[in-house]
Amino acid sequence: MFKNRLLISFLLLIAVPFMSSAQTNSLVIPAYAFYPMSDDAEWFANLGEIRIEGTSPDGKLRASVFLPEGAIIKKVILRYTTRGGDITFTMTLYRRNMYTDVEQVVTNMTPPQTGADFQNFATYSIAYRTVNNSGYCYYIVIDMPLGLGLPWIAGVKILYE
Amino acid sequence: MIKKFCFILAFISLLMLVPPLIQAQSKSLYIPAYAFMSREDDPDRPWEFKSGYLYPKDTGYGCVVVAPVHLPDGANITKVVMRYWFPEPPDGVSRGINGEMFRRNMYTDEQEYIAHLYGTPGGASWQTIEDTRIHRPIINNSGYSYYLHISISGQGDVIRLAGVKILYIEK
Repeated sequence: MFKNRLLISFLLLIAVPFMSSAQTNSLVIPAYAFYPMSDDAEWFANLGEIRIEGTSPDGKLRASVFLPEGAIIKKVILRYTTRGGDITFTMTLYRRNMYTDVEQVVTNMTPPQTGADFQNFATYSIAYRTVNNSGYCYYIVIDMPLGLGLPWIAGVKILYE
Repeated sequence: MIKKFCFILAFISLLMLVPPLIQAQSKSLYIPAYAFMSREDDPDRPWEFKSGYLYPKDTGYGCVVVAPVHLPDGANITKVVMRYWFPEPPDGVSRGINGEMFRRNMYTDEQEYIAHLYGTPGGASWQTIEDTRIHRPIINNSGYSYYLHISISGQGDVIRLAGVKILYIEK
């Protein structure tokens, strides 16, 4: 009886680290991690949420993404507001191959319009889920239309195991 | 029964040994072009991005960009690789791409050189340059911050930066 308990204890000892390694972790990319696509961006402000003026010549923002090697991306959440405007924009998470220079879409979302308040929009539709840092770098591009009164972006959260 | 017990003990010991062995494997941090920003707000050195790479605008004289590097404390840097595009200058104008990795002391503000990547002209294709002679390879996050500094001379979408990859062995 004692030996059986001892064996079960040992088995648990072995199993627990594997069970805990399957936990869901988060990487939050704050608004302050985003920058415009070019450096002549007088029309750009970052006040905890990124804002681009309607007079901007370009509506693209970018942020680099660093996830642990081997992480499995489960979900990507965007926090934003279109401030009641009739605005359509896209957020894309890319990976770029170090050797072939091919850019691949990991996930792409077109969030719905919102009222004045910030809200979350999530996607589980993810390609190339397993992070491979030896061959790829990862980054997000937010592409907004111009001249329509632009959305504000508060950040992006990536859930991974 | 004692044999069985010993076998289980040996198996557990092996399981405990395997993770440190795996951790000693080489890991990579690939810093994309999108992680870089201007060293200073210099109107003569504008830059922009296209499809994941960075290049100087037509209106300036090149650009100088920087990016922070975050590696685990105690990691041992084995190689720094820069991915760039640098065809033979078609117009005879002098151009170049020069990358460096530095660390800066948090208390003395001394900046020390870690790796140097001097890009040379090649064909019209992506190429890599690497430095394996790493100075001060052990990451010490308690006293230093780490960053990359890349200078591109010449104007226009001729020389491009795709990113910098750092290979390291975690402690």
